[in-house]
Amino acid sequence: MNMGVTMNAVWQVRLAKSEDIAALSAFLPPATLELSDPSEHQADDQWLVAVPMAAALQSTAMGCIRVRRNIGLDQPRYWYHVGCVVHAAPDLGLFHRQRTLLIGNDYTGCTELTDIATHDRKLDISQRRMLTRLLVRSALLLLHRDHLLPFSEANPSLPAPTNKIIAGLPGLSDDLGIAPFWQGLGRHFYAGDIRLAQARFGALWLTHVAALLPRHPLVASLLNESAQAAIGCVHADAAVLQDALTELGLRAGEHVNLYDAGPVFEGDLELLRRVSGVYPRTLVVQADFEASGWCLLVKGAGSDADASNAQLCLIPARVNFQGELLISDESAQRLGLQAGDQVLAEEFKP
Amino acid sequence: MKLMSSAPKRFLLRPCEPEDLPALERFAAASPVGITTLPNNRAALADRLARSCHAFATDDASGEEIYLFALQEICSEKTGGSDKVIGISGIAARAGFSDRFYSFRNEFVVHRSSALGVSTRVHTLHLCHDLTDVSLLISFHIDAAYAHTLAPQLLSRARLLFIAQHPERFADRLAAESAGIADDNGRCPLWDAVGRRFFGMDYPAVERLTGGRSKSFIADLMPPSPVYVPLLPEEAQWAIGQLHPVAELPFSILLDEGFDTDTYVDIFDGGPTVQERIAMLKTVSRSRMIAARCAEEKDLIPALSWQIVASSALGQFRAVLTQATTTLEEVTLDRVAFDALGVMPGERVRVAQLDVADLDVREVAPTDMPVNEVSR
Repeated sequence: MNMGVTMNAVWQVRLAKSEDIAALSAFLPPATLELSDPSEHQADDQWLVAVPMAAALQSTAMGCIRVRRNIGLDQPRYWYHVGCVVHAAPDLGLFHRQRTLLIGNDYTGCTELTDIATHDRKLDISQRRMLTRLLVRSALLLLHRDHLLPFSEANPSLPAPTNKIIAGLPGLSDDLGIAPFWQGLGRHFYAGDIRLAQARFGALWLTHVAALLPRHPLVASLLNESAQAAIGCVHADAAVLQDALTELGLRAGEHVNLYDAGPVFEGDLELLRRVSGVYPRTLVVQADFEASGWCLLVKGAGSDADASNAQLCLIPARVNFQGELLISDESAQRLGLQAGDQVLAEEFKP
Repeated sequence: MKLMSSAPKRFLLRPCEPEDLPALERFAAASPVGITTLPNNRAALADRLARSCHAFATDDASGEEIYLFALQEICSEKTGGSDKVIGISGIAARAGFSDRFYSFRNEFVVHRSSALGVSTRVHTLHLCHDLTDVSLLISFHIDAAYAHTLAPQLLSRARLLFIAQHPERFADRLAAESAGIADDNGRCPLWDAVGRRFFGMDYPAVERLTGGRSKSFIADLMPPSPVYVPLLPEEAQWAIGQLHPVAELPFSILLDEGFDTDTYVDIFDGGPTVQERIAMLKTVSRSRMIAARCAEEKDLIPALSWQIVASSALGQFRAVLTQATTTLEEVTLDRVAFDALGVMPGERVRVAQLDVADLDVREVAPTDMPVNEVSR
């Protein structure tokens, strides 16, 4: 059911609050909320929610994204690296290239975009697309803002992060959630009830199960055909997210999930910033303003930034010849922005 | 024990000679693909035979030698029989000489997740070269008609006395491959599950492709990392360490000798590759050098027991399995055995007792049977 969410609406993306939990429970798996509280933010673990600025919707969160920095430093995280090995016997004319799987912690220290969800019952496909793009771009814009800050100012309590951003995409599974990749590999090493493990440990169940999985490289061709075919495949339900990540310049890397072999998309933050066209702008507020498009912006840029401010907005805007960002008086008042504010902004096409 | 009642057949083991080529051809041709180390090719067999003759003749052993033995009935007025070769067996002085000898080593790793409260014991196969340079028992073939006589006992175990007699020519460790599970077309479940993935062809095709060359390059195509057995199809898992029916007899002899049967398997068909320190093997540890004496007709020979008796010669090596009486100093043999050994009275021979009572032995079957008992 469409609840009046329009693509051409002002949106705010901000840190989740306790009053958002009820809305989030409508589209996040129960286990996720049981194991973590989105309103409790830490420097390396933030939940952002997207809220339409429309009175009729009472600022209800319609989507969320979780930004986890420096992953794997408190609890190890695991992925399979999909590699290649060549077995050759030149004198016999035999040459075989094989895919290999090697379990490891390669993304330790990276920033992960995860728990990306939208209120699908209230959104049609185009709205889901727009909102998913908004969430991902907002998370990245926030990361760009912090990346441009001297690191010690952005996150004084954290070790220096890598520039790599990752987002895991769900792989193939049936209607019951059973993944052919797991059936062909993981279940031979852990025969327990994975649903119970997932309910008990959340995403960390894979960390615990990794201790039971092969430590040596696996030649993929030794798995059954269904498991082989699933490596790196994306579940059809994740096509929207895949498109959003791809649009921003993230690409499938060489790693897959331990359970369903869904690919991990990755990108370098600096390269992603160039793809997104993110620039620091000076804000100009005009009463008789005529927008030429939409911009996603976050207050603060460079030394003017406030790392604790994680409030972004999607508003009608226009860039003038001087490179300043023009917004309406109404938008400025609603969002607490003032002329002369330094913002980090990127064009957004709903 | 199901032992022959009277006038048992008598057998003699001796080095193969060039005239034994037809017998080698017969055994090679009767063996399914992948079952034997004997090439089914006359020229290759002749070459192998020549290498064996050279090995028995040379005093300059390099480790490259192979020694082939022929088993025949002892023909005499007393025992009858023919001098037809009824079995062959061999020894390779060094496995993988000038190359590597590949095996899969069975290993078990325990994975534990404290959080999940789970421990699992995982069977893995590790490609290894552990058995490179050990000595290798090879090419055991016996006519099926003699499979349940004492002939295969002599054919297999007398090799150990030869090694014990000439230790400088061999390693201190001995191994033997046994044929694993395969159907009549040479299809092996383990090969299909592992090797085929890297070759894209079945095992008989690989055999044809290699044309009798060293198989070490085949292992170059195999994964160097462990094969996790639980990931293999059940049929392949079950085949690991299993014997081809034709290998059961020679394997049972090796088992009785005390070989370790659990550690290694063949990388192609998963058949067990046994190994042990030579000094620990039953026949070797029991063997001793004592003087040979020929019993006179008037002699009473009390306390008869079955003994494998081998001459100490290299090129004129002979071994028989016979009932005899032994003391600390000498073994008393009947005329047939004594003559077959070709030793002089008082000449020292190597003797090891065989516990025939523990063996499933019966008289020679009256007719030839189509399948030979074989190990590699």
